[in-house]
Amino acid sequence: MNTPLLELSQLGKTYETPQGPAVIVRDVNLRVEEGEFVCLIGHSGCGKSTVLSIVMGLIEPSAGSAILGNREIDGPGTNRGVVFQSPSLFPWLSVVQNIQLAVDQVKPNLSAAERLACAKETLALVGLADEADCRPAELSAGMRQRAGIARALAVDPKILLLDEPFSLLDALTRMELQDELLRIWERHRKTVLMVTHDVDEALLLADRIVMMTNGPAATIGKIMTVPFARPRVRAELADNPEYYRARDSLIAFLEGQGTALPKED
Amino acid sequence: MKAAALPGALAARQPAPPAAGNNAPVKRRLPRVEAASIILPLLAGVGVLLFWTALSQTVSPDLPSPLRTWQESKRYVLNPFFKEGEMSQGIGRLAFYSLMRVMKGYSLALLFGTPLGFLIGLSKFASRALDPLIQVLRPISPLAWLPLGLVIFQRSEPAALFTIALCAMWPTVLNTAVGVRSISSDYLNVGRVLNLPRSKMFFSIILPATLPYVFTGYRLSLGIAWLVIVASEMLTGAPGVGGFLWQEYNALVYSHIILSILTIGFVGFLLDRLMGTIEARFKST
Repeated sequence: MNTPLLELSQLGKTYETPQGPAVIVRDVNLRVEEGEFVCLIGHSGCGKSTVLSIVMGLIEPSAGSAILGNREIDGPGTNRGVVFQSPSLFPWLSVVQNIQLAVDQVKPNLSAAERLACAKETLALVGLADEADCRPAELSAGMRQRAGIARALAVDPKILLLDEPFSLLDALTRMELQDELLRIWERHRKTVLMVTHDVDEALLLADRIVMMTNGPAATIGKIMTVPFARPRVRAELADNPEYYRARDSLIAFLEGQGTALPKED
Repeated sequence: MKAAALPGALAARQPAPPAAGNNAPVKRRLPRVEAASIILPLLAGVGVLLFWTALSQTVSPDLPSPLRTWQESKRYVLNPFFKEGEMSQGIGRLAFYSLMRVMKGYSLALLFGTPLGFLIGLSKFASRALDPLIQVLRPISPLAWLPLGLVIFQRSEPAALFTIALCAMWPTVLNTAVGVRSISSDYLNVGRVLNLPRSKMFFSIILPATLPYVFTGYRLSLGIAWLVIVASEMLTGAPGVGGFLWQEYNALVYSHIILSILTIGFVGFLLDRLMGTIEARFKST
């Protein structure tokens, strides 16, 4: 068996509080292969974002290890492209300048013109070629999150990390962006680790769905391999009886986790 | 802290929306509302003039009436930049002297206040060390600082600048610090996942994200600097509106006190408007 791109072993995060140690996640073991699309799913506050933040390098694990491409993760870096829940574009920069901030960081040897061209190319990839010179405030929420995806792609990362990227969008825009992400992914087959709490989103996009148990002390409960062939089309999935079986099994797991009051991440 | 702007200035900037009437077309209503926003302040002004006249005719015979004030002051107003000597200059020229002095002290306030604000906002250590000190220094009146300035610098001009800078810098310091602290953690995380070096983190993210707060601080600081100038000129006798006011009080030309007061208010109003415009421009980007 070849070495996976990302390997989490016995990963855990504990915070010291005045009331004693608070275990957020524990014993997370996960291997993500090159080119794989993996979704982490679970109730709010179950610690799935904590796992992702450790991979981003924003949080240090208190136990176990996270290895990306044979190297232990010890901080943030541009070998990972990150899309946050809110697009977090800088309002004082134009859309293309926002992307360029990322390009400048990974391609300092290129001329300014080449870096601009590179940023524009990435914007075209997410369908925002005509909005390059707009301010983020002039774009719709969906367009802003497209730009957020473009910024993550602009660093040409080994792996894309998405933290509930569509959860703040309305239902129609969300579907539109899911299809867009699917289209981009089909073209590049970049490794993706995505946190979501949307069962349909996970089934549409992922190769494997990692189900997390409820916190505190959350860990991986079950892993489902999504059986649908690629390229996937939303409408065809809806006609597939297998889809509903998979969906039911995911929901059964999440409901089995109880309806304990969700805690904040 | 941010809401300390002149309420009058704010109200004047945003005329009340026309009352929603179903049968009256909006077009006919709009001019009436605009007329009201001119007529009402005029009425209030006339009211003050009447009260002032009544006061000067009854209980306070030393107070010059509005008419007398105008007659004795119009030379200074109609020809605002004349100069017949140190003691007799147009009110525009005096206001200009005061403004120049304010600008020097105000520049010092920004020069020291802005970096101090960033330091306090960025460093928990600096914030813990300096916050209590600032809370104690902030409420000290310019009248208290000025003598200390005179002791330190031995001359009135640097003492005045010292006083202006020391009194006017606090809104800049505090607003800048608050601005830095309220930067969205998402913005900082974007910088972190891109591995931006510290300098780029500051100049590309922290500085632009804080600018709207910084300019609110600058506007409030200018208001205070203008308040302080009058006090410091009165105490040092420097040429300017405040110095003129005190000189004319001693010369028993009371109408010129009123002229000075109106000039101070008018210039302060203009300064606030000017800074408000600049601030709005920074907030919109």
